Amino acid sequence: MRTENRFDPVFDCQQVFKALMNALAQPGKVFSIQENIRRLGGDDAPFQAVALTLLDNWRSFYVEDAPALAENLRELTYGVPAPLEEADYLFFPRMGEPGPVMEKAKPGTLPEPHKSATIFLLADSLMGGEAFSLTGPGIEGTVTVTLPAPCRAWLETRQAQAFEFPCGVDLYFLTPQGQVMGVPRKVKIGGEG
Amino acid sequence: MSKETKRGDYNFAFLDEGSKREIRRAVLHAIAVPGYQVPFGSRELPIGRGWGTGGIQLTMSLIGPDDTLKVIDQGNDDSVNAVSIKRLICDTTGVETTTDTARADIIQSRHRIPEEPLREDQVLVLQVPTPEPLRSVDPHEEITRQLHADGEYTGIWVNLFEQLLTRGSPFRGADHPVLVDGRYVMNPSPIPRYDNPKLHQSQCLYLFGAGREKKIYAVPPHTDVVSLAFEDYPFQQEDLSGRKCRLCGAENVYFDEIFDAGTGERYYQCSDTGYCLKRRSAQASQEKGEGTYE
Repeated sequence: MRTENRFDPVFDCQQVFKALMNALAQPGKVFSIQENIRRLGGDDAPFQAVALTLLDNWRSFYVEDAPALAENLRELTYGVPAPLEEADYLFFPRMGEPGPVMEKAKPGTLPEPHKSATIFLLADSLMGGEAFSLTGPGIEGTVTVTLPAPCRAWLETRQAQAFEFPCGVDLYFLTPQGQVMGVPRKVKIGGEG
Repeated sequence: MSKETKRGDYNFAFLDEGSKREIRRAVLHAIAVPGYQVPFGSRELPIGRGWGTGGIQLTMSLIGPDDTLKVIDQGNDDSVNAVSIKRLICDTTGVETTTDTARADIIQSRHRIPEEPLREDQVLVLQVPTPEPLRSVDPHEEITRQLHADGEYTGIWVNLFEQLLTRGSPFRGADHPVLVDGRYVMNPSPIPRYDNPKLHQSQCLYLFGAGREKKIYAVPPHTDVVSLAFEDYPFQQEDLSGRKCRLCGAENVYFDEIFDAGTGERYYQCSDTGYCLKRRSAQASQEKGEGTYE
């Protein structure tokens, strides 16, 4: 049965993809999937929207400490649950310390850097923290962001991991309201903004 | 949200959602690693491979019902290839098309970058026949992949040097290789050298699709793209000096050359027909406006 505001696997997925694409191409800028996640409803809607856009039985995923969400994403997308070290897409519904995630997540190989992990982190907000700047492809000079401290910690940990480009992991920050910010592997923290 | 399409018997934008998903994943990886060719499972389309299938698959995966599309072939909005591609996309999506670069959200192009500067909210999709700049160095995918991994581009430099010795110029007529963000050497698709600098620190996102070769790659906005050249042979664009569009009078744009066998005369006109048309319309309305005031 079709309901009026149902998340559409064709049109909503297209819009979510466009937001993810623009977010990765223009790091530091905030894009919105608010309308799309409203059609899904619930606390897990941002992850569900992303998973429906990117996951299928050809890709594996990992969800940190949320077995119900992991099962839900598997049922929705036929994505293959996998350990952190092997998964293509990593979802963190509670943004804690990065811990050993960056060491474990797969960074791809020099000949095949596309076989790397993409991490999605749910943050309360994408602003309100101390200002700092980002530099890299997609950014005109530098861009100043005010991501909260836990988000910055993930970026710093990734930078400290010093993956040899083109290896690395790509990060997305999502909020429950449907804001999206992408920080691809080559974008670095460039000092205080 | 959905629109009436002429071909309701197909999924929106022709491709099935699984195919779009795979292409979209490849696009995201391509943006994250500028210049790197991401392999993807190129789909069958009702158009032969090598006729723009990579570009079509990218456009089909990007496009939404509210987007406005422009398709050009060698700068021309009205060539057979451009019209056929436009028709396929429109029949299966119902989107609007335009010849005006500024109005388009997605521009699919074969072998040209429009004259008008593109914006951050626009995407230029380029059709690519030979994505691998190292293919002339080694025919094996496994080897070229490793050469890219090692950043080992000596072979390309030797090729360009050989070209300099044999033809007097290291520059290719089209598809002159570029270095993206200081890491990957990339074929920019067979655009003229005139268009190469437009890739450097551009406002818009460039996506490259090679359907036959099954590769997708990208140049994000504000990324360094440097055309390969030697210290004593700095990069040069085509010499277009002294030429003028016979229709709109534009100078310093890329031209098509038209030869009249009867008179032996050569004419030039803008290769970007949308740009030329816009200039002529502006000129016409200006003349009309001036006429009213007189």
